[in-house]
Parts: sequence; C-alpha cells; structure tokens
Amino acid sequence: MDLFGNIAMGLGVAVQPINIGFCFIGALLGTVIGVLPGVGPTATMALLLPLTFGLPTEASIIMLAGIYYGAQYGGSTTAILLNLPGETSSVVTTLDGHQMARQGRAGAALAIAAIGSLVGGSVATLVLAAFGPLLTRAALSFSAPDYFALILFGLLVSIILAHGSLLKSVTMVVAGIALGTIGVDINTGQFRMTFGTMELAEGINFVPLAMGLFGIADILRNLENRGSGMGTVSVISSLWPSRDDIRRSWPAILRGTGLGSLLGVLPGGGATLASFASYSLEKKVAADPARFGKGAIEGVAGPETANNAAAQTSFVPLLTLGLPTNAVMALLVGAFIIQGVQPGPMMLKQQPGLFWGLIASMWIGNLMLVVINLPLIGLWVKLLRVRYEFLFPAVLLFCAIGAYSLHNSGFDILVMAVFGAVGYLLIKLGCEPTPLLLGFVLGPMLEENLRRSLMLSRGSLMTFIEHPISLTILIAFALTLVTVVRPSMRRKRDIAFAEEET
Amino acid sequence: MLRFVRHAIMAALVAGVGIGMSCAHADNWPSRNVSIIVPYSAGGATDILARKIAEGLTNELGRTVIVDNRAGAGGILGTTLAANAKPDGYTLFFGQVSSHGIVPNLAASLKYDPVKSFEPIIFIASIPNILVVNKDLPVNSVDELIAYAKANPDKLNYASSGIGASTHLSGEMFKSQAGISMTHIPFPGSAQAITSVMGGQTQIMFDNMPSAYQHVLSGGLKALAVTTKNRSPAAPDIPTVAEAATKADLSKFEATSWFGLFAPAGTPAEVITRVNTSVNDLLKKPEIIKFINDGGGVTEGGTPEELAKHVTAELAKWKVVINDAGIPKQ
Amino acid sequence: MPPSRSGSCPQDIIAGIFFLVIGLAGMWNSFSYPIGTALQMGPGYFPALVFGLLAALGLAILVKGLLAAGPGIQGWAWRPTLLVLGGLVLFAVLAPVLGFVLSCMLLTTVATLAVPEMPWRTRLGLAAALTGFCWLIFIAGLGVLIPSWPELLP
Repeated sequence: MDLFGNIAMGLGVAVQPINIGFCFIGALLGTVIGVLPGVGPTATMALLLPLTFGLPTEASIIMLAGIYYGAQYGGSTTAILLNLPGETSSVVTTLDGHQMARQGRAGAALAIAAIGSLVGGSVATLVLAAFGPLLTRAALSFSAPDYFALILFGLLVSIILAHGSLLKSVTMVVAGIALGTIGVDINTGQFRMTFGTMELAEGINFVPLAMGLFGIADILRNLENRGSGMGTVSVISSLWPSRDDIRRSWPAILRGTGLGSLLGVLPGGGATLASFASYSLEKKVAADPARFGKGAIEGVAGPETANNAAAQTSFVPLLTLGLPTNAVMALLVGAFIIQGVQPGPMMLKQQPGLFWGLIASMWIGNLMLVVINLPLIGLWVKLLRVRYEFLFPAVLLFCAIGAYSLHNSGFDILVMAVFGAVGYLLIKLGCEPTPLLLGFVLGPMLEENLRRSLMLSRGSLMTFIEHPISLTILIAFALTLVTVVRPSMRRKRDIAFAEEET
Repeated sequence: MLRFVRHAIMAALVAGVGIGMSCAHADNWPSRNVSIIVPYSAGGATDILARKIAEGLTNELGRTVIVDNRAGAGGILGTTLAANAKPDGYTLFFGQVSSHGIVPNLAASLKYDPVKSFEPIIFIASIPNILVVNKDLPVNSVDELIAYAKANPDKLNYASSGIGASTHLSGEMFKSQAGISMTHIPFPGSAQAITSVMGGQTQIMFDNMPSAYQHVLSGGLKALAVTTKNRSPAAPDIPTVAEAATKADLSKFEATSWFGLFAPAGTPAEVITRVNTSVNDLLKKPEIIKFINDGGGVTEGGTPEELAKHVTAELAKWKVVINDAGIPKQ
Repeated sequence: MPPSRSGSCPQDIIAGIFFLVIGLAGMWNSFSYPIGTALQMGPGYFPALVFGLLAALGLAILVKGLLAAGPGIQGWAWRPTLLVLGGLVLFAVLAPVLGFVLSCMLLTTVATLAVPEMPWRTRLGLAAALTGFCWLIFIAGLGVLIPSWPELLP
C-alpha cells in the first residue's frame, strides 16, 4: 500500500522526455482527428492505432491513451459547435452545449468542458490509483439482475432529462429500444429484422445513427431556415466563461466527478450512463430546471466532467483484470498485446513501470489537453463564423468519409442518410432524439440481462429481489417513479413544457 | 512517426500512379499493394495475428500488405466479400476455425463455400482454448468437474463468447462426450463472459488461451485443462482434456482455434506458391514463433494441400458436434 | 407556431400515426420468430413487447392529437433534403467504383446545389479544396481504404 512511492515511480516514467513528447503528440492528434465531425474516439483510435506499432512499449501506450483523451475531448467540441455527437457520452453535451453555441457562448461552453474534464479526469485518476483493486471487486459482484435493474433505472432517468412532452419522450425511449433489437439475437443466433442484409446482422451502428439523427438532420433544418441567418452565429460574446458561469459550474463539476468515477468502473455501459445520469442530476437539483435545454452551463459542465471521470475509471477493469469495458478499451487491449504486454492482473507485478507510468501520464495527458485546447477555442469558435454554405458541405463530407471508414463500406453512409431523414421528420413532429439514442444504447443490454437473469435463475422472477444490489436499485426506481408521477411534480413539468410549446 | 511518414509517402506514390498500373499478371506479382481481408474488427485476436503476418509479408514481398478489417455478422460478411473478390492475387483472406470449420455447419444459407470458394495457401497457427472454472468451485480436475456436474445436475452454467463461437461449441462437445448437463449462458464477447466466471455468476468457460491464462496465473481462475491434442508451450503443466479425464472417455476431445491464409478461388497458382513460401519462411522466424507461443499457440506452416486437408477434417468434426448438441441452423 | 383552429394537433396526429405504423409493423415481424414464454423467452418475445408498446404509445399520441389543439407541421425543405441525402447515397454507392477524389467532388457539388445562388466557380472551387483537404487527412494521413482513382481494369 505504498501509493505515493508508486505514483512517484509512475511520474518518473511519465516525465521522461520521450514519453511526454508522445503523450503530447497523442493528445494533439486525438484532438485534431476527433474534432472532425463524424470521426469519434473509436474511429480515431482505430485509424491511429497502426502509428504506435513501431514505438517503445511505454511511449506507445501513453501515446494511445493521449489519443483517447484527445479524441474524447474533440468529440465534445463537435457536439458543442455543430450538434454532432461522436459517441454516446457526448450526446447530452449537444443538449445545452449546442444551444450555448447558438447563443454565441461557444467559447464558455468549450472552456468549461475543458476545465471540467481536467478536474474530473485528475480526481478519477487518483481514485483509480488508490482504489483500483477494491473497485474491481465491487464491479465483479455486479450480476445480471443487478445490471437489469441499473439499466431500467437509467432508462427512467433518461425520461427525466428530456424536455418537451412526457408522452413523446417515453415514446422516443421505446423507439430507441425497438431499434436496438435489430441484429442477431445473442441468445439464439436468430437474425432479427435484418431485412436479409448481412450488414445489419450486428445491429445498426451507433455512429451513423447519431450522425444522421443529429448532424444530418441539423444540416437540413439549417438549410430550410436559410433566409433567417443560415444557422450561423451573429454575435459571439466573450470566449471565456463569465463569473456567473463559473459560480454555476463548479458544484456541477464536483457532482459529475463523483458520479463519473463510480459509474465508469462498471463493465459494459457504465461510462454511457455517467453523462446521462449527471445531466439528470443537475436538472433535478437546479433551482430552475426550465433553463435546461436552452443553454444552461451546468448541463455542459456536469456531463462533460462525469464523462471524462468515467473515461479514466473505465481503465480500472482494463488494467486490473484485462477486461475492456467498451470498444475503445478493446482497441487498447489490442495495442497492449501487439506490444507483447497482456493487460490484466499480472501487469502490475510484471510491468510496474508501465502500469504506474500510464496512470501518471493520465494526469499529464489531461493537463496537456487543456494546454492544447484552451488556445484552440478561439479557432474553433471562428469556425462558426464560416459562411454556412461553405461549412455544411465540409461537415457532410467528413461524416460520409467517417461513416465509410467504420467498416470500409458504403452501407453505414446509407444508414446515416436514412436517419438524417428520420431526424428531420422528428424535428418536424416535435420529438427530441436524445432519449431515442439512450434507449438504443441501453435497450440491447436491458434485454440481454433480463434474459440472462432468467436463464441463470432457471426462470424464477424472484432473482431480481434476491440480489441485494438489484433490490436496492429497484426500490430507488419505484421511489423515483412516484416522484415523477406525483401531481405536484407533474404540474411543475407542465409549466416547463407549456413554455416550450408557446 | 517514421512509419507514419513512410505510410504517407507510399500512399502518395500509389495515388499518383494509380491509373494504368492495375493490370494484373502473375509473373510480375505483386505490382501494387496486397490486402488481407480480416472478417473481424481492429484490435481483436484475429486482427493482431493478421497484422503480424502482414508486417512480415510486407518485408518478404517488398510491397505493402494491408489488413482490411471487414467485420460483421460474426465474420460471415468479410468471408463472403473475400470469396467474391477478384482472384488476381491482390486480395487474400485470413480464415479461421469459424469461417472454415464452424459457420458453414451452422448457417442455413451462406453465399460462400468454405472449400469451393477459396484456394488454401497456408496453415498459420493453432491456439488452444483453456477450460477454466471459478476459483471457489470445489473441483480441481476434469474428473472432479464431471463428478460434481453429475452430483449437482442443472446447477452448473458455462459462459461463452456467443452462439457458434469455439468457446460455445467446446462446451457442447464436452457436455456430450462427458455425458453431463450444464446450461449455456452466451455473452456478447469473451471479456464479459470471463468476468461472469470470475464473479461467480457462471462457473465454467472454455476461453481462448491468452486472455484467460493470466487470470489463472493471478489466482482469479482455476485451469483444469487445455482443449488441444498436445499441451501448450506457454503452459506445459496444464494437461489436455483427453489426458486429464481418467474416468470418462474424452480421448477424441479436441477443439482448437486455428488460423490459415486463403485466396479467392481462381487465384493464379504462382501467387499461391509465392505467398506459401514467404509465410513458411516467416513462420520460422524466432520473433513470430515467440509471438505465437506467448499467446499459448503453436506455429503450423506446410503446403496448401495440408491446409485443405485440415479444413475438410474440421468441417466434418464440427458437423458432428453441432448435430449432437442439436443447435438449430440459422 | 400557430395552433390549428379545428381543435386538433396535426403534428401529434402525424407523429401518432408514424409510431403506430412502425410499432404494428415491428410487432407483426416479431411474431415470425419463436416467441417462447415470459420465463423462457424466444428471440421474438422482447421485440414483440417493445414494438407493441411503441404502437400503444403511438395510439396515445394520435388520440391526444385528435382531442387537443396544437401546432401543425411547418414547411418541409424538399430541395435540400433530396440533394443532401441524394449526395450521400451517391457517395455510398460510387466511392468504391469512382474512387475517393471523384466521389468527394460529386458529393460536395450535389450537396451545394441546395444553395442555388452559389456561383458554379465557387461551387467547383469549394469541392476541389475540400476534396484535397480530405485526401490529405484521410487517405495520405490515416490510410482509409478507399482507392483514390477509379480502377481501369480490362
């Protein structure tokens, strides 16, 4: 339990000039590629992975981790500026972040996102270093019924976070779950609703779905409104957050750090839930929830912090067990193995320098992100002044190439085009697509864990009550449901969305 | 960064002279980049091995050999693409136990034929699966596991990385040959499956060797046996299933993850010979042998005919397992 | 948005019908797979449930739309929709055949037709500039596997 000695050793590795250099290159490349609309963290990592093959082990892993944070932050940048979420966790950032950009406050949103990421990332890294093994044990004790309860709770929460008609929000969540059932059923191997195409066998890919519903639909809406300002921002206020912004943001950043650090550890979907949960929490505790969805800075600060904190702690299962919790982590496992290192329980014993060096480089990487990105904010914000008829073809082209590069095939572009049309229709119908995306991500996990629970319990529904974690979450679910349905709450909501509709 | 620059220059050159040099003749092959289709996404076990081989082939052939990841439909998408690719020697295929052993017996309609659509080039490597159990399960050998399963019917669950994966069919093969019952719990990937074994939600798994073995070393899991005919060089103290079972006849038990290089049917014989020779040389290099041994596997090599024979044997073997287990065709 | 006079909400009516139709179609499709029972779910059970719920919610929105006044649907921008989505479809289909450079030029040119007053010189200049920029990043830099030019094979 010599935490400080270990961290000192790690810092010794991380501050070697070669490692600092590659950490910087990684963070920079990650930011630059990740900021291209349509190219999210997973695609960025997959595309840049071969660059690291020829490097020394430590440098290569540190550079990849740098690419990861850079891409993660780059994804938030496009979410704020262009309403284009590159991955699940930046979907909620579009809600208030893009509204802020439309009001000319993109600079403040980007700066707060960077600062929140730094705080969340640094604290979560400390959590990772100090409690890694303990957190791992906790994560291992999560069984199928517990996941089922947690995901059910997450879906309920996603309804709270939406603004607008409650009925339509619920419908969008259910529509998302329905879309998620497309693809091979993992329990039987049955092809479901694939319309005879091999490409749909693994389901609709998240990236073209999100780019279509948000990015392409947004382009269509802006082209429609061309007469009135063409979607460009007329006035850009200060690049930096105001005192009021900071006063509102810091409690959100603290809450986001805690929430993100905890949820990030869960294998499978924890990091996804973190940003959604943080947004809902901020909306719940806010004095005036009606501001959310219209450019509330807490709605950027909380989720962005939670998202980055979760990104750090999602290294816990990878480093201590060798278990990747998401697609990006799976790519990192590949990178480790190519370097001849098997990530997992033996890594800490066999390669302590690499282990602690990577952890220490997370601080350095997060710091570098801020160093790289704060000066770039001015540049990104200027992008918004580019005339829209020049900007939108560029966005479209990046999205098309990004979608193509996912599977080296045009199929994902077609998916993106279809959901572009659907997204435009949903705007016209007054339906907000965010809950749909959460339903889409969580739906398959809901079904999988429900069916797995029942298989493991040989068909007994009591399994959900017999597992203490599941029981606790289900009770919380019931209590939340009561507060949502309670008349006083409903009145508050009605006022909120009456404003929305007038 | 050097590699990046080289890549960029190479790409620029290819783009510049892209038109007009596409005519394929086997005598001056390779006159442009060769791609190996890998039917799984970047970073996975198959992809990593393919990248190692591609890197080595690039040096041997003097032309860049690219890994082209075409993931989808559990590998069927990429395999079908490769089967229908132009047989000009510029598209090769990284086949494995799934594409050329299991899937053809499991899928109701396939747009490729594992034998007729491909020219075998060379058998590359075999990697064992390893039978691991939760550390609190009161069994320490294959015999004890079989006895425990018989004493506690309907209690054991085994995890797999999905329907039709070798991790699933190894379990089915074990069930039918040992005459025991356990419930199959499929997961969407190996990582989640092994997590559930460690957490005790499921008790048993036949996982791929490299990822599972380190949990054995760290005490998180108990290893009972490897699924190959011979012991693994990475873990010579773990017996094979056939050796370990003294009270049940498991002498025919063998389930290996294997990899081989193929080309679309009709690819010129000169190309096949050239690639076969190059990869045979490659498989003798200490660096490659160490890489494959570290992953628990052994290098294979040999002639195209040997790979063809292996494919035929594998197709027949998995057909029996799938019929015995009564898994419906999809 | 001006509410319609008739005491109904066209937006909700269309939304309701949209989800109702998708829900029913999905439910019908789910019944073609084995359903199983609640405790032994087949592959069709969960989708049937979810699409059924979607249909019910669509019905609820439809009923609400028929009863309460609300906003209508405002003008749909057909020209940009067709050009932008058409450009994407062309790119998806033609990229492996025409190669990177020509299909990028094509997508940009078709999409900018949504802005009819843009002069052709600007349009083509923009297409060339964006194509060059993307070629440097994606093909030269990142090695995305799209051939740069069409393959002129016999």
